[in-house]
Amino acid sequence: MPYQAEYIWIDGTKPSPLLRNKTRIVADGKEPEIWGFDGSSTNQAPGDQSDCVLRPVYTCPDPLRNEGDILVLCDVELTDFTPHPTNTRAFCVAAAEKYADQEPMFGIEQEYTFFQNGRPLGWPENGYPAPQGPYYCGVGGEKMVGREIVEAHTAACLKAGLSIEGTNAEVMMGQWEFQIGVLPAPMIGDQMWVARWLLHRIAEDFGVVVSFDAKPMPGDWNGAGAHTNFSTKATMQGYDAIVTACEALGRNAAAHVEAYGAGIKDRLTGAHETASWENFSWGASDRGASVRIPWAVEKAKKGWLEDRRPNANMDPYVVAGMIIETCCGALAE
Amino acid sequence: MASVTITFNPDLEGDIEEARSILDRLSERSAATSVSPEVVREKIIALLRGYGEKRTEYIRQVALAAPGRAAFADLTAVVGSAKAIGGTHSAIERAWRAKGMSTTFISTDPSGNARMEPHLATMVLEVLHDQVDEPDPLRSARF
Repeated sequence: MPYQAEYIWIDGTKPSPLLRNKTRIVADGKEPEIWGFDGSSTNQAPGDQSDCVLRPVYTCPDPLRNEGDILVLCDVELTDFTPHPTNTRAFCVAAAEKYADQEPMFGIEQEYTFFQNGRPLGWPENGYPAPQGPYYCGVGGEKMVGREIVEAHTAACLKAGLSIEGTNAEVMMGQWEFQIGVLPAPMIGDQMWVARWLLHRIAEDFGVVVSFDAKPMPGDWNGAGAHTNFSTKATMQGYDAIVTACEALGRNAAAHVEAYGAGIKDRLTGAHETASWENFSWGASDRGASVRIPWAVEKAKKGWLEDRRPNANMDPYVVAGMIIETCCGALAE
Repeated sequence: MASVTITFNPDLEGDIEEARSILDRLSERSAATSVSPEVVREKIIALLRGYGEKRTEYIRQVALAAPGRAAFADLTAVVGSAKAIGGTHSAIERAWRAKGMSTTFISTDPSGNARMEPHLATMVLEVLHDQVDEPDPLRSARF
């Protein structure tokens, strides 16, 4: 019996791309093939040369349809089968394959905010909810909103075979987090994009919008980040490699900040558990540092580091690729 | 009934590897014949999905060398460094097994030279041509 393949791709919308998708019916026993779409409707091509190519790069079971149906994450290519300028996965793959011997691995903590009727889910029509404090990892009626979506999303990720590690409510009302990892690149990006797509798709059924905006509400409200945990074979064996990686990130701080998501300077203010985007710092257990060494890692003298700068709206292919280039490049010297 | 005699010195690492390689190949040939070529072709398409230039070219070099072995030096030139060869090879083998294949995709000898079964290599080269080098544009042109 033929099956449904939901082709998913990343478009060319700026400053932050959107996810797009369409369904193809595939014959039983066949793998999904290349496909095409109208790039002029996705900010990826002019109208007179509108065709773009979809090349399947990652597949998993579709947890929202029937058994046998699949999700198909795709690279966008030009019609000469070279990567489209908006295709950031190609950069990530090149970096990962270049430093494969170092076994770089990632775990990403994806924060996001639910919106409804133009304001965060659960917020009053006029004014504000009670100040931050009870929401982080909270429980109880009236203050915890959107949990039914979180539960459905987690179940869907598990059914799809994604490496979801957990979920929790975040500091601002209507804000939540899920974690994906520990995975090599580019799979960390593949699974993160699919998990984001599932979240958008499931929230659709609840009449709720998912925002990955870095600072969804101005003022004394936490922003939304995507803390990125990173290790290599060497960091898992000794502390010197962790120090080398941190120092390399410091030397390239400006380039990383520029590529870590739109609106990052509004989020990395130095307040709300962030370090200022202008001042790179790293340290053990310090949630006010750009890069944090977890206390257990410092004690064990081996493990991983947490780059706390990436925005919630970051591109995981770009962040993973840049961390590999910077850290593995330094470790290879 | 056929009988096979393998003579080797158990104290010599090279002898052991050679004997193991022969037994692996005999067992793979038997396992491979139980999977239809159409299924193997689809598994190859799935394996190559998402790989970048280095892994794709590593696989191509080994397939091109069949029935012989691709030299370690040539593979190093493709992947970029001798250190990266091990990670590349093990990642490809893990992915092949994860797709439900019980056979070895690429086998290596103690010197790092790599080999692929000739019938598999033929299919790999066909898939590389059809999917990577010169995909049929009409496949992408539906709706």
